[in-house]
Amino acid sequence: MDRRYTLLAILLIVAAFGLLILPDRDKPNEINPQELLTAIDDHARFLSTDLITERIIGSDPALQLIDVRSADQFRQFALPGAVNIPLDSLLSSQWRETLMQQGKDKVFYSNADIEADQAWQICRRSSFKRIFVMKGGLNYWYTSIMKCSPPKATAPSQEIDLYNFRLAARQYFTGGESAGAAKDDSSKGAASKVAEQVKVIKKEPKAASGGGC
Amino acid sequence: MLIFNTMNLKKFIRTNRLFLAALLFLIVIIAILLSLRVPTVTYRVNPDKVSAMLAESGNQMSPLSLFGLLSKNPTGIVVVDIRSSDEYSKGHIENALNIPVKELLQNRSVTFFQELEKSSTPAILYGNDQLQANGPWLLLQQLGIENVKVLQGGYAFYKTLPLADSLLQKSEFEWNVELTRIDTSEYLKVGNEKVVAASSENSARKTPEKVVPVKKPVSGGGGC
Repeated sequence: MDRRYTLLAILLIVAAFGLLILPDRDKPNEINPQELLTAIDDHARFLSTDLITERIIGSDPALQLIDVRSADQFRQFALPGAVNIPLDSLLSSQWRETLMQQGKDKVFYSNADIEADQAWQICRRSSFKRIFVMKGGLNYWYTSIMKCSPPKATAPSQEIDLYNFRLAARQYFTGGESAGAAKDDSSKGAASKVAEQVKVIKKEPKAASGGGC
Repeated sequence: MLIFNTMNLKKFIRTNRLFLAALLFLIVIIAILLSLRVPTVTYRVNPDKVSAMLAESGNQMSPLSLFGLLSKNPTGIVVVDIRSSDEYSKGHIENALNIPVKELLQNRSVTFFQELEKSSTPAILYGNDQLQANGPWLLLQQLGIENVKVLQGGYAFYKTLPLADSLLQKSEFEWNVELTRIDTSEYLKVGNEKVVAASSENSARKTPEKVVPVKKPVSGGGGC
């Protein structure tokens, strides 16, 4: 046999062993630290409490709230429709499906937004899609909506609209007359306005059917 | 001239076919190796450990204890300002270094933090608010730099404080934003009334909703 062929064969075998000592890529779906830093610096992940409230009231099917506080706190009080995934069990296989749901906006919240943002970062590193953080958290939600205070009479109309929306939202969450807000005529008007709002349900585009022969 | 050249080339290929094949093979291997180049900064802690670590407390430092440390020994703790250099120049905590978020993973910054870790010098990160420093802090933790903490409330809170003995009377509640501010008893009271009100209001609330589905055009498959 030709000696040169033997040489080539040996070269191939050596190269094959080279493949064995290549560095591991054990987590191919992880994004690298630089990408993660860019994502951290981007504030598009923060959604306002008012926006979330609006989507809760409109029972938006694409909204999935995720409560990252302890189970104890979750039992005491939580936003309607929320799932409780405490921070330390975030990556357990039990919740994988919830976090991977396609076509849903997964919104993390905690009492403030610190823990929610930590949960977001861990999930972002594992390249989960459509994940968000509720800016300000439950504490801000509570003070801005359940305890909203009227703006000055001279406030711009946007602010007054926002106040009316919050009053209506408070009525939605408490079930009405109790908070003393319902006596206000404007709030009733706003409440019906919320109910009448035309809802837009976005449908996920179906996978393009590939043509073939 | 040209004909002579191509003739020559053909002859060259014919006689050295094996050599050329080996050369091509090597080039392909080298190209693959180059594309596999490991990024300069890598995670040292896997995600499961990170989420377990987050459950522990002690990742944050209150402005009061920072003030105490700085007044005792100004060089005992490294203070890092992660805001932009513009904001930094307008005012910052005394002796703070400026490493903007965008430059956090540059070689210079990473080696700086790694040296702090090696010499186990404590460090503290702050941004405008606590949230701004929280993300970079968690990233550093994942890179294996564990001697860094976050300033509670951030700079916006720190600069409003009259840092004096009167602060000693403040409790943890005022620093830690993750403690709940919701008065559940108040909410539950409201909630009970909801049960009563619900029966009468149920019919009123369920006004038919207009639903306008938005359909996106589905790209059709091409035929032959």
